[in-house]
Amino acid sequence: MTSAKRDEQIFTTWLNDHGGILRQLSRVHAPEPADADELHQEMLVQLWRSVPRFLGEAKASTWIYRVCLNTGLTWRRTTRRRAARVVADIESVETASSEEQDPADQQERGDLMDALMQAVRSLSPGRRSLVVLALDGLSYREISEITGMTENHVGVALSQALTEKMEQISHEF
Amino acid sequence: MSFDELQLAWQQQRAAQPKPAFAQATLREVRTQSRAFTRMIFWRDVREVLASLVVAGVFGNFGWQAHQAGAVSWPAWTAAAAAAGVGIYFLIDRWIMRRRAAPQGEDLRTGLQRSVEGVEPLLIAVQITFYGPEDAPLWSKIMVWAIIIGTTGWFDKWIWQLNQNAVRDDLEPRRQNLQAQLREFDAAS
Repeated sequence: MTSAKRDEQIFTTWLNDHGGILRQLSRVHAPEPADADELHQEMLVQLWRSVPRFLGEAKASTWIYRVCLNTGLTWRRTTRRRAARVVADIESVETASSEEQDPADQQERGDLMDALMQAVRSLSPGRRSLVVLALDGLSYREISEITGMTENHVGVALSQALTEKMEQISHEF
Repeated sequence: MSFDELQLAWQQQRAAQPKPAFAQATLREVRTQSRAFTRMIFWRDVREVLASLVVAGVFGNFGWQAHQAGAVSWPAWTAAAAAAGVGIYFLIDRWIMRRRAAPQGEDLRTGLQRSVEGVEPLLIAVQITFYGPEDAPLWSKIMVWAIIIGTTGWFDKWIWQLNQNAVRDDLEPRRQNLQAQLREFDAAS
């Protein structure tokens, strides 16, 4: 297999398996929908540029989190929007079917997600990354590999962040 | 509601995020954007280097004419050398940055460190060419402006102002922001 073919295959597999990570991370780092859209595209481009360096030593998800969180941490809003919005246009909204859910349940879930997203965004960028990774269900070890912090200190910093923000939400809902 | 329940809600939300319907089509668009980005960086570099060389040429010409006429020529030679130095610096910097710019898949702490190391040389380059500290007394700024305008004209005053703005509005805030984020990771490790 040629290296170009290999890169394409890896990238499309990542998109299919972990596309949701990129969307969610871009929303965490950019509250405005237009900014989130721009950051999402930036993450896609950075991820594509990173493929040749991916040697399979790290798990694909670890690699994706590293590239996308680094992009989110160093991203700066541009004042001039790019004209092309094609990536957003060719995405379908393959959402989980919500037709069968009770509207009241949907409303409550929506409120919860809004509050949770707001709480995550209000954290400092470093803690935000830790909390997002914890909410995504990653272990301390995996978070440590992604952030470069020791496992012990991931635990300490996470506990502080969760005490600071998450308990408030836990009580509200 | 427990953290586990929050986690579950979060993960359900993530699973409900829009997914690319056509991964191949997305790939094509991403490649196009990636190439456009590379082209944009290339032409920006060409523009900056060419501008520096043109400025160096203009001041070099002034210096040569002044030298031939037996007039004071060192200010023009200095301005030409500074502009050529900036051009050469850009070439070296871009060569280094091109090697380091692609995402390395490194951990966040290392990534932030690399970003700080990317901003600092730019900041230093600007601060050693036509730049004055923001908190300098007004009289010293007026003296510097008088020297710059008096010797090399308004053009260098304009460059000086551009450099002041770049440091104040872009480079210094960016460095501080990156360093603050880095400290956050360091404080916890």
